[in-house]
Amino acid sequence: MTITFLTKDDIASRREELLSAAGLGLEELRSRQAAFQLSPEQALILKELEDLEYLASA
Amino acid sequence: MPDPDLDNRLKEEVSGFADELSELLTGVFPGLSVEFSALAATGASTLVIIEQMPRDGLPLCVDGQPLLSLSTTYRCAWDHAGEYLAIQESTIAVALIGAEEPLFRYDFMRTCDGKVPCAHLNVHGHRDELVFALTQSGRRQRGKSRAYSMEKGKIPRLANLHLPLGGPRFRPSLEDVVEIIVREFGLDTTKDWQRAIREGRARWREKQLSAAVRDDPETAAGVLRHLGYDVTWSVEKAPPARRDERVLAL
Repeated sequence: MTITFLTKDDIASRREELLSAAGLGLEELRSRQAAFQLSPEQALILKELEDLEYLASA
Repeated sequence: MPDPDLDNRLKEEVSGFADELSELLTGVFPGLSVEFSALAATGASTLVIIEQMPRDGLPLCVDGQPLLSLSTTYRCAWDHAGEYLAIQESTIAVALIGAEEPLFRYDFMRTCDGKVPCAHLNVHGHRDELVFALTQSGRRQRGKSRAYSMEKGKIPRLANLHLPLGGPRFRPSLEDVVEIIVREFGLDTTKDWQRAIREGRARWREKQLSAAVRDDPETAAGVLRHLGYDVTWSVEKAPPARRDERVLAL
């Protein structure tokens, strides 16, 4: 397996890409997830966004 | 400045952990192609996310037909001494194949606010009586935030209930979840699947037992003395105190 190391810039730019693809803000995505109103694609985007939030806290 | 030795040790630890997960899953489920990917970021600390591919879950079959999907994510922190990779959060979710909402999920959060158990199970289902009881909760503890949500039009669900699983040390492993879904749903398995479960479970429980002994060494020493071992504290400094934040954690 490979480990991909992300810089702060990598995280910020990927985050922007994902939010643009979702067409919704992070809080709105979270709110829809809590109500199980996300499409499978949006759910994967939110999952990746949450991963990036975690990595950004390093 | 990156430390190549530390990075190499991190890679070894992450690869070793991912290999153990892969061995378990390929050892149980026939024809399963399991890969794990890892993302890492380094700042004041080094954080790593280990996740199976594909990210939307591994298909599990009955008579060759996909029935369930299994998703696992581990969020880990690498300590600065480069000694160990600690799981900070984990999720094991089981869903009907193609469905977004899981049937149930096992979550763990090392750092917990005490409002929900650090290791808990959420069951995604329906039970009118439970929903009624949740709507009638006292306006305190979790009932307070639930009342606030209801005022905003959100009806509580069975999945909002966080069922405790034994705290940080005695929570179930991936092996436990895999075994129970194999048994309950009659999933396709390899001939030797129980060996893979036993080996993985032994590794997990030895690690958790070691951690539990470190949390409460005096109790562990007392038990060993009772069994006939000669156990004494032989270091000049005072023995470590019980780690109540772990031993007593919900």
